[in-house]
Amino acid sequence: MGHMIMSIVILVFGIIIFGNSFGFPALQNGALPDAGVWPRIVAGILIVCSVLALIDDYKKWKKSKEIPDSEKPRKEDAEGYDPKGRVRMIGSVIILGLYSMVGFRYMGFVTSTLIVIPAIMLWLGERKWLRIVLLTVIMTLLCVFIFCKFMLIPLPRGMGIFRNISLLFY
Amino acid sequence: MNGYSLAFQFLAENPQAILFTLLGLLIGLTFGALPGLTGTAGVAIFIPLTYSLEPTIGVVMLASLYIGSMFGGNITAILFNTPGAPEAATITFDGYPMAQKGRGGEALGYSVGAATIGGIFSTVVLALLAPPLAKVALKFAAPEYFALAFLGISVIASLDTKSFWKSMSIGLIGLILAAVGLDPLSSSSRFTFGVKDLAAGIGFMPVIIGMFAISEVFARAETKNLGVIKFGDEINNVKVRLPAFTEWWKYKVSLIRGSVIGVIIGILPGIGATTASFVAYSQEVQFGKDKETFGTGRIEGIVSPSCANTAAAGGAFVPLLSLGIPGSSTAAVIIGGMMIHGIRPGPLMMTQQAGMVYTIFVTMFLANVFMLIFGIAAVKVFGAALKIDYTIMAPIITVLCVVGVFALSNSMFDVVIMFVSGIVGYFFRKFGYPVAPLVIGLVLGSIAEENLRRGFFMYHGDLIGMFTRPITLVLMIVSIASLIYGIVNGTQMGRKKSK
Repeated sequence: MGHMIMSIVILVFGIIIFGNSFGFPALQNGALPDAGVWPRIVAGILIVCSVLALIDDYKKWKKSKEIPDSEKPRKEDAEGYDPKGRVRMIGSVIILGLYSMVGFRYMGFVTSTLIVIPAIMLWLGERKWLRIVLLTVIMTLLCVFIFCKFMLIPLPRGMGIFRNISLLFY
Repeated sequence: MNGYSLAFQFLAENPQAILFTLLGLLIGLTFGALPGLTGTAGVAIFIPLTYSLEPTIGVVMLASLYIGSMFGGNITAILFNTPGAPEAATITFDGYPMAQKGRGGEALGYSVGAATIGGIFSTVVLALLAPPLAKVALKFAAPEYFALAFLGISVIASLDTKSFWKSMSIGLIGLILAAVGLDPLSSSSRFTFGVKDLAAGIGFMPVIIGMFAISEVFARAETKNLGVIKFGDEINNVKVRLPAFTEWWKYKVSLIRGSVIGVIIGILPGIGATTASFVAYSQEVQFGKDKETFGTGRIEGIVSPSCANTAAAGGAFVPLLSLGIPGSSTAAVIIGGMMIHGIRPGPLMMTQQAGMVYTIFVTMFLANVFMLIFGIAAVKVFGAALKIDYTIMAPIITVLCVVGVFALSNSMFDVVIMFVSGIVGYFFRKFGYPVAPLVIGLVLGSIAEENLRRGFFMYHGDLIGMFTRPITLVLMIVSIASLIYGIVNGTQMGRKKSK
């Protein structure tokens, strides 16, 4: 079912792009293809391909429905399956999302990195505090040295008090 | 006096030139390996450091830095599914699956050996054929560039026959993503949906790092034991295993193909090693047997793009030295470095400064030999990281990717793109959509579209005239044939599987 949903999402994406490819201004009184011609062609082919992919997925899904539940492979028996895996994955997405989209910009590189490294390590199951502290400090200082001091790339400093903390480093 | 005599005389009087060749190579390996630190950045950063050097030595150091960066990205691409540079993205397709099977040392051995062979091949070509090759490169116009990009894109049809329509769909999404932003010919804003940051388009590096490295972090987090597979100690030590000559002989066709493609594309101004790498991979799939096994750990999928990368670096020096035109963005920065030293590359350079030119040929050859030796040593350093617990590797990879992507253009939006690509890449992997075609479409899409429209303009809409140019015609016939073959093969495989 997830496969079919994915194919439908791609189909919808193709339709949106196709619809949006009209209305671009003509170039050289029509002598030159306008900005919408290439995306229109590509999106048109994408719609066809995604419909065919959807049909394939539907056929597979229908076939799988004919197999009794007792004969279907259980997800618990799949290689690498971990009942806590999905929660761990969702947590990783949240941590990384908060770091890259919020912390990095508003708290600055130093503060956000000092928080996110222990957060990721603890979330993934690390429990040795010496490792956590050492990695956090070394990674942060190494990045400050390489990117800020050596390459002169101004990493985000954040706002307010976080900016003041960042200014201590770079 | 013969150019080579002048070169050897210079090196005998200035042996430190060899040391600076090695130094440049090591710096290049590091810059290439780490995401966010590209060879172009490395050359730009180290130009000021060459001010105090003799001009020839300064140029030699920059050239070897460029060469080193071409291989550096392959190391992290194979070991961590994180291409350190755009041209190393194709190495992840087959290199990382090999590492996952405990054959990382073998993959790296093939990669470093192939990179050395490609680099030496291009240096020899450079030394022998620089001026005439540069003239051929000038014959390439918009129709030829379109045909070349189309050749690379055509492989999408052959990449994944297990789920053919999905592979095609993803490749087409890549082509659409390449069109996001301001249209280069009309400046119309396309598919930005009111988001002003999208006006600059979607950079392919944030997408590549997100799709490969970040999605891998998510996928590993979900897996039992964080996806760690314990192999025997000798495999975990990632000893680079350089293949024997008889093993290399099996892949001679891939080596030649990758080297030739790399040199040709490297010579063409404005294209660069990334395109060379993708076209080489696409041709490997096209002409290879058992196409459906590409992406699962095929040696050819590592050898050919590795050759093409370093061959393109050497190829970029052909127009640089003989015409003063850069063959790539890094070569453009090197021209800047040369001009700071008072050197004017161009047609007269071959005669007026023959000593410098031939010294560059000799030291580039040396740099490729050093790459074989020190590339293996560099792998040991990175390979040691495989023994480190994933609870430590995951935050290192995460922070380096975020900072590295930000460092590319000082753009927070690139970081957002990377994160979103990571999530999308995770779902693609989960539902059987291959990621490689999207990357191919994204990298080659803008080259294809821009040159198609320019060619249309050149020929006032006469498509027949445009596509019957000799070089264009040959490239288009090969592309269309491979596309049709891919479609027929893919649909047949699909029907077999459903039975």
